[in-house]
Amino acid sequence: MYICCVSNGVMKRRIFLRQTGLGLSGLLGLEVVFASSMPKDYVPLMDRQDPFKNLNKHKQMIVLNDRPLNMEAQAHLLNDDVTPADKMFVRNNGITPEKIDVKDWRLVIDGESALNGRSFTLDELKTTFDSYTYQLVLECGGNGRSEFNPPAKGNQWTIGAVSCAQWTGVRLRDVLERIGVKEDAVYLAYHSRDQHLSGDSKKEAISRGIPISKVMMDETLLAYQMNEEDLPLIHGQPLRLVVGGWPASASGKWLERLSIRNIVHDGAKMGGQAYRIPCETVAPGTPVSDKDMCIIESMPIKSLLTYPKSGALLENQKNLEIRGHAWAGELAVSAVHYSIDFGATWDVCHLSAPINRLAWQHFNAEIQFPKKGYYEVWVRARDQNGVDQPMILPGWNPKGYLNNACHRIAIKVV
Amino acid sequence: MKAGLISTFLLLLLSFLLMKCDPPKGKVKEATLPDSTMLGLIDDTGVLLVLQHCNACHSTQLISQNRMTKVGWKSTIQWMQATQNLWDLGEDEAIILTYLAKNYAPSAIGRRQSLVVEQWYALDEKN
Repeated sequence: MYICCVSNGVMKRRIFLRQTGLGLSGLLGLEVVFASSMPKDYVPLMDRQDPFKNLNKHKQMIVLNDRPLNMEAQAHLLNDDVTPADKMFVRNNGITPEKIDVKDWRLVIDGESALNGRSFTLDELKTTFDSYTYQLVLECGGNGRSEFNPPAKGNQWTIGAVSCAQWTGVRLRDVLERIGVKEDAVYLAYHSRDQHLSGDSKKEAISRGIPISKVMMDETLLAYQMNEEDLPLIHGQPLRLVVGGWPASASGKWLERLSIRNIVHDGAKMGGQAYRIPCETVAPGTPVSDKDMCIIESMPIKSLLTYPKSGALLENQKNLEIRGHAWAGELAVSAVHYSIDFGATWDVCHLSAPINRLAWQHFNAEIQFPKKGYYEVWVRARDQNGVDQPMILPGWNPKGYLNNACHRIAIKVV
Repeated sequence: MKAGLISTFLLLLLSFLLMKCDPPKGKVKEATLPDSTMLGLIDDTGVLLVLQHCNACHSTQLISQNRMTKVGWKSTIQWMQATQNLWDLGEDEAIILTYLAKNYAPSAIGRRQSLVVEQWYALDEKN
């Protein structure tokens, strides 16, 4: 729930409260003196806001933070081959735009290294450039942060800040080639409509980007559709970047402007410790100065058991089919193994080929449990270079990124 | 209702209407503020200052899901002051830091904890 007041369309102040059933008097500890005089259509000072309202999210999604909104899936919700919108995580850095007027919307392209900067309407983008459709993995760089010890600050994601939806849009490369990119171009930066948490219009909530080499890949999209429907507001209406295999913060939502930069972009959450890890590994808990932090690019090999839901009791059966997905950032997945004895022995899973580069791959296996008892099923994926997922949290880093430890579920054969 | 109470109410109402994400004006009197437990924070000395200063810009969930030492919380405050428009907390800072470091402190955990199953369920599937 939040209290706000809208005056001339400007959000003046918001306070979020978690508990429902609370009135203005509850907040202030006072009576509302002239409550009976309030106009019927008065936009209330307190507009009770349920994060699920108007979002069409699955009821089992977990809200980590309601301002800014951060919501993750649970493993069993991600069983679909292609992640539906209602089960896709939400990672906002600022305040979601209230409304986007798609007709008046334009994408401006500029920057030091742009030859012929200009703007496009959505229709112009759609009619000028060929459209492409790919299934692309988006995973929050901080997915798995909750396992860090010492704890890392930020939203305490468990395993559900990952998705693989089907995205349709134009290739960023095609658009930039039309603009013309100078030889000194280094980075492509995005600027978005979402508002900074402080309400300061001069500040951006987040403005990140990608090197030109990633821009030039076939799968790097300016997407206007997700799963064959126009982008929902919460996922970046009307146009967003989709940079498969990289921290999802590179995939800016609610795009307004793209800048072709002749430096590594220096926007909000590009510098400092944001979306960076120590350039050289450090012992857990070590403070690292900003100059020794390097930008995260490709995400590491990872997998998720999406069926069955953890906690299954197997009655009168010792066989179980497991299913899930594996992904490897820029790379393909070459194998997935499972263990039912805490990693002592491993068996191979059946693994499908990716439908396109940077899509997650599906695995399944038929497990036979030797006898009654408590088991954990662990899965471990291997990338095309032969690198496996670790069993425990790897490479502690100050901000809690890149935890790709193997996923586990609990099973009892009874 | 006493005139003083009404004017406090009107002042608060006005401040909600006019402020965006701004520091509380003047010295905050905890007694005039709401019961904190409704915001999901642990009720302890200083919680109302935390609400006034921190909850103005972000959800209390951003506090309650984190665990830091006093040094860690202080550096977080400094980061917000340097980059996120957080104001000088003045003499409230010491109280806030004590509250956060006491109630949202790291606990010693292993690198992998036991799996927690909220509810076991019978899997209805014949293989």
